[in-house]
Amino acid sequence: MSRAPVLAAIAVAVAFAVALLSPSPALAHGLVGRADLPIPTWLFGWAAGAVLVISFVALAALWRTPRLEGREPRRLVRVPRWIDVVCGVVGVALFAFLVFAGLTGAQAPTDNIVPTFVYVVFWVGLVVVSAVLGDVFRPFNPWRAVARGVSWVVRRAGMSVPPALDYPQRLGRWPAVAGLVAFGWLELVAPDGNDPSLLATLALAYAAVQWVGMATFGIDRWTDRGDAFSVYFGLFARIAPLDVVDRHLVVRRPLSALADLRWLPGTVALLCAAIGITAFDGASEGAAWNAIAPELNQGFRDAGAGTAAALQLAFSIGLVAAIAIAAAFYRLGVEGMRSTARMSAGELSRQFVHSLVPIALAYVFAHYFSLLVFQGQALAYLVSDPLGDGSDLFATANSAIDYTVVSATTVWYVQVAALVIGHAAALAVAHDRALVVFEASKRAVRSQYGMLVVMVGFTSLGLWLLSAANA
Amino acid sequence: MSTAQRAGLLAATAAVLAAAFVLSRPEQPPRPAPATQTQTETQPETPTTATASPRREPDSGPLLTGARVRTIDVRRGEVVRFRVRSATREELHVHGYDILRPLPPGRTVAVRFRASIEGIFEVELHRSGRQIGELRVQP
Repeated sequence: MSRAPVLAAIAVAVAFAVALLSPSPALAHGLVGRADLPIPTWLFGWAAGAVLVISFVALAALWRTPRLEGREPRRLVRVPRWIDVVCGVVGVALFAFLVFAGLTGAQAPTDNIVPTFVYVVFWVGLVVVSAVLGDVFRPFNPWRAVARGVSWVVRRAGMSVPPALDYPQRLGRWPAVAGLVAFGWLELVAPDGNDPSLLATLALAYAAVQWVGMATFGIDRWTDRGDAFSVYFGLFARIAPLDVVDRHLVVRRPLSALADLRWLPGTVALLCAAIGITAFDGASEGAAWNAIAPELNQGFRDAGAGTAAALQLAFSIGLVAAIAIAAAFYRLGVEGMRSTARMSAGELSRQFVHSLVPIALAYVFAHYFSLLVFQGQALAYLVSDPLGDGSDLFATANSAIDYTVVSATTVWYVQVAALVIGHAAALAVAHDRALVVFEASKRAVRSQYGMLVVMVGFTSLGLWLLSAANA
Repeated sequence: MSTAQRAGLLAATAAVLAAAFVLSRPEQPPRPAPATQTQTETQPETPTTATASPRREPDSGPLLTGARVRTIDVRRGEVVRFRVRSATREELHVHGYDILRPLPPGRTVAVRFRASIEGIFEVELHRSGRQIGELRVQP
């Protein structure tokens, strides 16, 4: 076992230990006032059929020469340096304010702006924005901005700084994987994941870890590999047609930057964690999980765990299982490709991992669309009264969430469309890579039968999680 | 395959998928009259008991006591009817609709409102946070 998985294992063990010590058993998503109706059977059937049809048509009709690989983005305008500074200041101010609000404001999750900001604006909203506008988190990243500010001051003052250590190759993106799983655990398993002061405290602790990482390995090196959120949002930013490269705003073909995603240790785990966390959020509300969970729960109680601990252990296992299922699916497709490829499974799995990014985006969008639309409206009153102390800064404190802006039918169509489009995009990305890897296009097409199984599997799983079959 | 052929194939696929969508989408069945509310649990109530005790009318809906979570299924536009009883002083909270009703201890309180929002909503006792029902409003 290399060192990185050991570190991840330690992180998980620590998280478990913390869980066992914390008391309250409540697991409900305190923020959600309305849950989605499951997709009706006819729409489920249609979508599953569409996925199969699209897959076969794609095999026949897709291009014969790579269209996404090795494309140079077109430079539009130079981004002046002061924009970086302004964004950094805004990011740091927002971060400081949210920590302040979390620590001093009302502690009911729906009265304080912090839980809604963290789980709706940041965790979900930024994914969607990144996939359209590029890596917007990078300039606003408060941890990076503070570190860059400090570094500038230190250099200005002429102090000597010890040189950054070489980032260990084997560490790869594993720190980001650990961070992502820990956040998923906080959201889906932890009893007090919605608690404003806990979120604020953890945000500070997370920032401290980032600063240690940046101080040790260099600001950009750590941000690109170790900071879970930079890495996570950066993945989705590669789908976007816009980005900032070398201080220039660029346009590019959508999805084309995925081809430049460099494989590093932990990248496959990162994508499987991203998909697995969202999948478990869906599954934990469904019938299948609710049939298993009480058994697990009882098992842990019989083994001597307390009520709260048993419930959290059961959900932790569910989360880990969801990530493992995602990894197993991907491995299956890679094994399928090996029959035509004459390459090692490891090499193939590295070559095609970027095709999971559109699937991960589709999962996020399908699962959280209604959360964005409905809970997003809560911002209207939360910005007027962020601490929940009765203030009314923008005269919107008395607004309420209108649950009729989007009908249940529209939510269904958006969910299904997201999964089907994500499926097609993933196929296109994988096909493009196959053309490069296998040169002969016939062999490339044949090699894709394996990946097709993966994509169809993920999309069907996504549909099933949203459907009445799981209600 | 030429570009034209490819475009034709993609157009044909899109047309087939669109046609399948339109064909498989069910016709919206006519909305039932507001009085015929569907419930997962039918109450063992007969018209005779209803006339004998006016408090237990057949359409006053299921009684939610919190012994288990009861599902109330309605379609949008129908009237939701149920009754709640709590042994302790409590407050009823219907999520999404944000309906709040004080519940004096031991008394049965009848609740009715029109189901105007689609989705799945928790019905809970606000003080203890215990879920007593699940309201499912279909489009």
